[in-house]
Amino acid sequence: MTINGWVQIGLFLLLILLVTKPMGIFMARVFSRERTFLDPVMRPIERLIYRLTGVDEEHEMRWTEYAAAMLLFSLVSMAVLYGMQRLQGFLPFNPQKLGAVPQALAFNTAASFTTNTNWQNYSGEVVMSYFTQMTGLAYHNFVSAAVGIALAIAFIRGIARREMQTIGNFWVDMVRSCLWVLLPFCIVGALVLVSQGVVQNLRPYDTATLAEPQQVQHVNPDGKAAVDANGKPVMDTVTTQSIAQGPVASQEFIKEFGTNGGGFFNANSAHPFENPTPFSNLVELFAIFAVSAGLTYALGRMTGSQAHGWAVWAAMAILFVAGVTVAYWAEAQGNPLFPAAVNQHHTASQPGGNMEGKEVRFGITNTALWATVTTDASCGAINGWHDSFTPLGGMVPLVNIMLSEVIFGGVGAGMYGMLIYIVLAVFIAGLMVGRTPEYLGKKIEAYDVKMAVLVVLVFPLVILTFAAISTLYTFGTSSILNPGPHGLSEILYSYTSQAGNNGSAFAGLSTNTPWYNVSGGFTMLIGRFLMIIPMLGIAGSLARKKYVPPSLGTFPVTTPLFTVLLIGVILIVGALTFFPALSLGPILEHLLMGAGKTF
Amino acid sequence: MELTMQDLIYIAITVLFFALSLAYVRFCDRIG
Repeated sequence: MTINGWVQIGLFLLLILLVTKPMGIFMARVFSRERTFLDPVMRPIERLIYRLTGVDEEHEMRWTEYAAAMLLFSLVSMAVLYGMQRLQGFLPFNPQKLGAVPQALAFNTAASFTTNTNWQNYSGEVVMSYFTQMTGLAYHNFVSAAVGIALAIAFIRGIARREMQTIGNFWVDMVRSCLWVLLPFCIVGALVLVSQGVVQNLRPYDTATLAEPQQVQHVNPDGKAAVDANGKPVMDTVTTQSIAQGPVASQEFIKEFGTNGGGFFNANSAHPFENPTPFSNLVELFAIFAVSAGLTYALGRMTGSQAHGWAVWAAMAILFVAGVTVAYWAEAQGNPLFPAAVNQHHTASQPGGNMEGKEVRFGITNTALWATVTTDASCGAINGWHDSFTPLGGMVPLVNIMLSEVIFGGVGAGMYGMLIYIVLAVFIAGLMVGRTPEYLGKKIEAYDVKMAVLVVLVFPLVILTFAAISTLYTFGTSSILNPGPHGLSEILYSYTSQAGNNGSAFAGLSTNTPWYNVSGGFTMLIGRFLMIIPMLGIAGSLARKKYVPPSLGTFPVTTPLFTVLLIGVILIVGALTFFPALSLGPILEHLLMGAGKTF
Repeated sequence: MELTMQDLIYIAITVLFFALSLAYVRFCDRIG
């Protein structure tokens, strides 16, 4: 670890601190329908959208209507994306003449982008046409993020409102999320990325002649490497290289700002056309946390308790620093099994540490920082391979997702996930002091806790069930590229990432198979929608309650003690649930590595 | 390319999932 590395991490956290208040005030004004500087441009567009779609913007919804609108919107969006992938061969903007996406893969991808997961069982540059990328995937990058923000705002309204049956209007919240929050920032952000060298065009792929021809093993139509009758590899001579490109920048910034994570290229943000410079790396990292950090301030502002918003921010920041410290430390240590003659120390000519699977442009610090940030949030974009991290370094992104990605978290999803933990924290605090728990003047009662438990239970249930099945049967184990505990980590990470709607892959697992495509698709749908529904139930319940003034027995939610309790609940509920699985995966792998065994 | 039975199955299970989700909304509302 270096001073330079810590300064970069500190600078990043400082930038997030600085953006929290302005972003929070802006979002609070947008969703409270107060005037903003974007109104002269966006308000006419918003009115036009409502006129065309027949939405009554003054109509207020009960939580059930809000949830039903969200579900039906998601169903239609998912079906359209499925059809678009299947028909892309007949649709325009397809200079590479790419054919239909296979059915199982199309189902997985449609579920993935509808749920803001952006798990990718395909390489974008060889499977998806420009039309599918621009109007299918990028569209979902916006609307799935907008749905997340809308849900978080609906929950905050539930806390803020008193004796009301409604929590807002889904269509209005989603449209305002898109028009005021996502689109303007993404236009500016995409132009900044273009200035750094991120490509943006609609040209066919270029073909370059290699300076030195390469020998590669021939691949048969069934995807297997070719061998001759004597078992020797059949080699091809490659003299040209196809350079993929396309409308990347317009999809790149929303990929981070909407915490979507699905890359235009398979290499995601490790690809120089997606993330060319250290500055573009910082911009993309900043974009991942910007909205979620702002939502903590919006929480405080809309509920009239700014100190509570900062207490939540502090809990998130502490967990973030803990995660990045472990990841950075583990990767900077390097590989203990290398001979002593291999210099793994940081010097002027090399970054030191474990550089396997990392871009030399980003080094140890920015890869460890990115892995932490992308899994604290439900982003899933990557700039290095998590599979190549040391066992403990790789455990950090896995644990981050297992904590339900509430450390700033996905746009909206992080905030409503954190609010579930807050409900549990104040409930536990209430049990400890023997009083009915209260949260910002609302009594937390049996229904709220039942719903919170439903939210918390569905997450490990779907992950551990599918992971267990995958380890028991050939259709699951045949996809593992590394045996032993590392293979278990690959499976565990796959389902955790999909259930958490993160989308980053640990790699090392061939998931474009019927089993992983279908089970993964359902994992993402369950991880998204079956958690949102009881969460909205709590929002509706809180909105109906009377305000109870704080008394001597009220547990304050604005103090460091609350922050500590909240962190404790997150760790106990999140981490301990998965501790047995982690013991058999990365922890066992770490211990075996110490004994000289690798996988 | 033409629509296959597999396409119909995937669309059907998607619709089924969301129908069950709507039923889950009703369940969560009724136990309140």
